Amino acid sequence: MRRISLAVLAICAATPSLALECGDGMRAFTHMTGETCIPENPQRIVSLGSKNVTVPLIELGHAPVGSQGSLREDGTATIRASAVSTGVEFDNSDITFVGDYPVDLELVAALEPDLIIWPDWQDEVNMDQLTLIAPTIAYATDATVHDAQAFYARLLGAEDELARAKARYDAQIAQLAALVPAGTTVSVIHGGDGGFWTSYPYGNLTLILEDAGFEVVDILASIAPGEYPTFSAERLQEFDADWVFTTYRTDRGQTPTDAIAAMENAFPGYCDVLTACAEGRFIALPREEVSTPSYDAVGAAIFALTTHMSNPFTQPRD
Amino acid sequence: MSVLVLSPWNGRISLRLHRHALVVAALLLVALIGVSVASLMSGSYPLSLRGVWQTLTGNPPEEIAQTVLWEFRFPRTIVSAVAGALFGLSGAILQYVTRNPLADPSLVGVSQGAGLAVVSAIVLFPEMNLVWRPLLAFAGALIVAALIQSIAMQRTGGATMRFILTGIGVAAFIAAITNTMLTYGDIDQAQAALGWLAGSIHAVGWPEVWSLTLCLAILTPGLIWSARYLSALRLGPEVSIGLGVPIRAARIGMITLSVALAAFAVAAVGPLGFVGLVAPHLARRLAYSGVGQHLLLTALTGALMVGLADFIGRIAFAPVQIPAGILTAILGVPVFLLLILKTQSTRQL
Repeated sequence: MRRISLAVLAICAATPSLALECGDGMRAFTHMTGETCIPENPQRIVSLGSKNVTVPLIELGHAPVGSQGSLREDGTATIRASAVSTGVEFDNSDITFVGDYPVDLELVAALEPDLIIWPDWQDEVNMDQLTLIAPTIAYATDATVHDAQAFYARLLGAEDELARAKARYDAQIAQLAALVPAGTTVSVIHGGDGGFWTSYPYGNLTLILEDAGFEVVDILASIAPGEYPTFSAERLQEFDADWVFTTYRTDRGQTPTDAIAAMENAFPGYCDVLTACAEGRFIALPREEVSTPSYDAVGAAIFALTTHMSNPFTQPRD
Repeated sequence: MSVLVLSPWNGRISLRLHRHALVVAALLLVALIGVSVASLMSGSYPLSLRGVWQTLTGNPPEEIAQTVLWEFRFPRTIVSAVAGALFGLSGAILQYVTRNPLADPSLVGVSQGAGLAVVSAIVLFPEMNLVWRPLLAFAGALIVAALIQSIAMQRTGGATMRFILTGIGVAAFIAAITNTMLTYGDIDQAQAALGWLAGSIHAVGWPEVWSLTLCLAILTPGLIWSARYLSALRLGPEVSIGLGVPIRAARIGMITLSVALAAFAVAAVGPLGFVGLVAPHLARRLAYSGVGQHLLLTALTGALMVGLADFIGRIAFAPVQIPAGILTAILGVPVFLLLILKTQSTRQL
């Protein structure tokens, strides 16, 4: 449903606006909640979402003046997924940390932004309040990397950069797809309290896998977009596929050991039950690279998958 | 004990005021004003006292000061104080009516009803506009409170113990449904719901100021009217009947008043449950007084508790914001325990 909405929005965006009259130096911009007058060339953007907003902005060459961030265990703030995707962090840039969930509205105002980007999960602050500070546009968090990058390229006038990045993505996918035999199945799973949770689509991972020719297992395909259902541990075998993936959060200091421990906690001896795991095709990936709408991050994820697909000793047996 | 008796309008109204309680009320008011001024000056965009004054009088030192002070800080400061007062008053009335020192708005289902309504909206209808949340919270609070009252009052006038047990039972049932939604709902939506349930004031604006002020203006006559009945009810049903109090009507009226006070506050800032329980006790331990003065002290104590909690939560780890609901418990419990230990009092309601 969300994909359809985004497609409709994309069509709307391509249609010249007739309704909204904007002043000098401003233009009408269509976004998730409607149409807003924004600066022709925004210079002081405040991002209220690190992974989904700040990272693609940096990637397109427009670092915001302020960004939402999350706190590490040592209490320092980080731009989630940015270190691995862009190399930019709060401590090596001029980006100001404006809080997490919720953000500090006063600090946002003090930065005197000319544009605020509000991801829809940041619902502890509302658009009406933000609009008092600066023009504010809304962003759908679960947009695919393609939709997200198209949104930001349209916002920043970076269509050329977008075209190059998309061409690189297509080439990377073609390289991966050449390694995937027809009918290769895949699933994504996480250990949780007393069961397993997953989602479909699962960020960029599903996009990459399906673009490369993988077929998701039935239990995944049955999940409605945007839902994160938990399944009984007794249904573990329904997640078995030629390749099974799980993820772990590096921004919280997690490693593959944490992901595996969660699986073991949900179903002791799970690896003996999943054929893919028993044969070495249960893969743990860092979640940041497979969930941030960044072509750089997606490129890293595709390369990791290409490496695994290139290993002749772990391929599924007929 | 020094008592001041006032009989204005040729004795038509007679007020019996404890001097010590008046002094404590004045001190609480000064403390509340101090916290409010500090709150207006402090934050991620610091302002001097002069800057605050200039901005409030229409000559801000910078344009951005106008937005920060008028749109964010000022409404937030007012709402935290008024909501704290409303929660405190709601708890005090319930403690008098039920003669139970553990009573607070959660006992009559206000917190749970509001919580269920808002969590249901967040989890089941995530696309719903945020402006509906206060209305849903208000409706949920009133419906569950009415349900508890109707069950408790069905037989022989609604004994206090049956009311308490009904409240606990229904509240537990509602809380279980809410927890089920939080457990099985989408993780991002559950996080949003938990944020609301923690009680948070950072997103309030002028609509909340007007709604709470209107609530206080409408319900204040009821509060003044209720003092004489509460004075009788706290002595028990037998004495109340002897004093000519219509027990059933008075009890229903008082509980309805308490529900309305808490429902407005919950709708604006979420369920800050601890304030309604502790503020009346803190007020009682700060100064002995009659019911009317105790209600005044409770309102000021509640206002000070929430105002201070919001102020500290806003600046202590800025830009990270700590919900006021968490800080009221963290700050309020040690103070409460300290007062209990200090007074060594065995006084009960």
